[in-house]
Amino acid sequence: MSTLEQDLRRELAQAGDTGEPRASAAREEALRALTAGVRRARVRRVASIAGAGLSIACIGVVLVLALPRGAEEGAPSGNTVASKPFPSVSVLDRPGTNEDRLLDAGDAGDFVDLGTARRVAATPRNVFFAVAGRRAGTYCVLATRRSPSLLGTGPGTVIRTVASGCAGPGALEQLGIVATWQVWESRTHIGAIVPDGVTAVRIGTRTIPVRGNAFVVVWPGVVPSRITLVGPSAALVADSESGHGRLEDGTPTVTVPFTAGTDQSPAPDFSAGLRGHSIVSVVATPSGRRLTRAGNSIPAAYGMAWRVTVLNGGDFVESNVPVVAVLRYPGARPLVRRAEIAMSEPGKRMNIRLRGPSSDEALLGDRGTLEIRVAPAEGEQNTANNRVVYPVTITFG
Amino acid sequence: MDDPHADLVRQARQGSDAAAATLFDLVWPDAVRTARTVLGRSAVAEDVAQESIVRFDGRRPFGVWLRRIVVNRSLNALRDGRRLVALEDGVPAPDTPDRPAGGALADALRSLAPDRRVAVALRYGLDLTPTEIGELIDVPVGTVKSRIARGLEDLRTALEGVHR
Repeated sequence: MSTLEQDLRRELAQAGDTGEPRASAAREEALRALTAGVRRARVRRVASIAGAGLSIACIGVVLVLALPRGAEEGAPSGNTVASKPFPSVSVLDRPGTNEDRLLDAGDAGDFVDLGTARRVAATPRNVFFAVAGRRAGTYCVLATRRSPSLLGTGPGTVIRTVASGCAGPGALEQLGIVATWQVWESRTHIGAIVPDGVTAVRIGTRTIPVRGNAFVVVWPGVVPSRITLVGPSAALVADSESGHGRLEDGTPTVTVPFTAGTDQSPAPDFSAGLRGHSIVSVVATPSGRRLTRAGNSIPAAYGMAWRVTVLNGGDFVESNVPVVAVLRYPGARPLVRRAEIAMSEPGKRMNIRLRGPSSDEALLGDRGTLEIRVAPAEGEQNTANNRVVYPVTITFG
Repeated sequence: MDDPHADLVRQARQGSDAAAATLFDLVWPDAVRTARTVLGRSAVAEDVAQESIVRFDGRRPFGVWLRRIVVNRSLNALRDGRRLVALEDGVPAPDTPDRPAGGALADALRSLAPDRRVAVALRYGLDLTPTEIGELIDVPVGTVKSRIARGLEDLRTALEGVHR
């Protein structure tokens, strides 16, 4: 055997080495799907957000819309917010095709394909960030996900919008940029449209190339408040009141607020009415056991999760509401999971899924506590129902 | 062909979560390993494995079917990946272990045409015979041998100066 063949075996063995079994979103999803699939698929993804894109276009505020999943039989109705990572994000670097069109993305009537110049990004997980707009001078970014239909529950794949944002006319001219993002496990996926002439953007110390007035990037942590545009037109630089400069090679730059969906719509008036959520129930999945304050014995399982049902008991639509699950064992570091209620409507319940402990994170047999918190809305009067604590013991079998 | 997973599939279809979990534990590592061998990228490989497994309908021998689907989807991912330019943003994929990318040989493998890369990966990564590879990807054995030979030649060219 040649040296090359020997090296190949070694290299490929290393590449294929999966090491110790590790919990991962893909693994959990696969197990869940397999469990459902071999039992003839009783899990059905719920179509979600038709019309949401239109709403967003109108209010001009970036909303992070939920990717609905896991609406199981018997579960309360409503959207379920997934907490799931992207592996990476890439920029589409080829002419677009009809397959890139947003066939069913959000409210299709509100978005049209602007052509390849303004289309951005596909990812290995089949997520698109795509740019579209209907009226001249309006710009929108959509994040879409191509979801395989689960075993026998429907034909082909379904494209769902998972996030979107739009800017009204004039926003770009005023140095605003429109962005949309989705947060999964402390990573923010940002897509944005920038003015003509911008060849790259700088966020923090990173420089991201821009093609076709748009970019997509994975950003660790919180969405930054400012962004530097590289190569803006002289007019843009002249219009900027501050923050303009030049690179070493003379390329002009201008630093602008990282505004999300800047539009001229007035902000909602929260002065009259109630706001906020209450926690209705917490169910451990896949066991389906509803937690009680008396104590809970929960069988360990792959893909364990907490399904939190919350009720928007206020008078307003709420968005981007953090939900936190903290699993504590005496003497051990707390295990914290975070998710976000992308949007909730008054009087409606919705489910939020927070990943549970993996088999190596749970202290099997030990008694711990699970705390669930829903962040109160500004001015929320009753916050006592925003937090629950349950005794939990995770066991074998 | 006897399906070694038939009992578990039957039990899972009758509603046993434990059987489904056991079945999953049996097939998931091979699915990921197969995808990783072909793709060489952990996060994408797990995606491919996941996307493959969700398509199982319980009617065919599971292990054989799954590997075939994983290989085919990996091949599709390779072809799709050629159209994507990674941002190289320095943010590690969530499930990517801290491991060197593999150096010149890994780079050379990544540069292979997808068909050749799959053939080489299955031959030297999973130790499959050309006949087995042919059955897996549904091409004649002669074609498999040709792809392997040309893949090796491409690698030698790419590594010229490294392997002599």
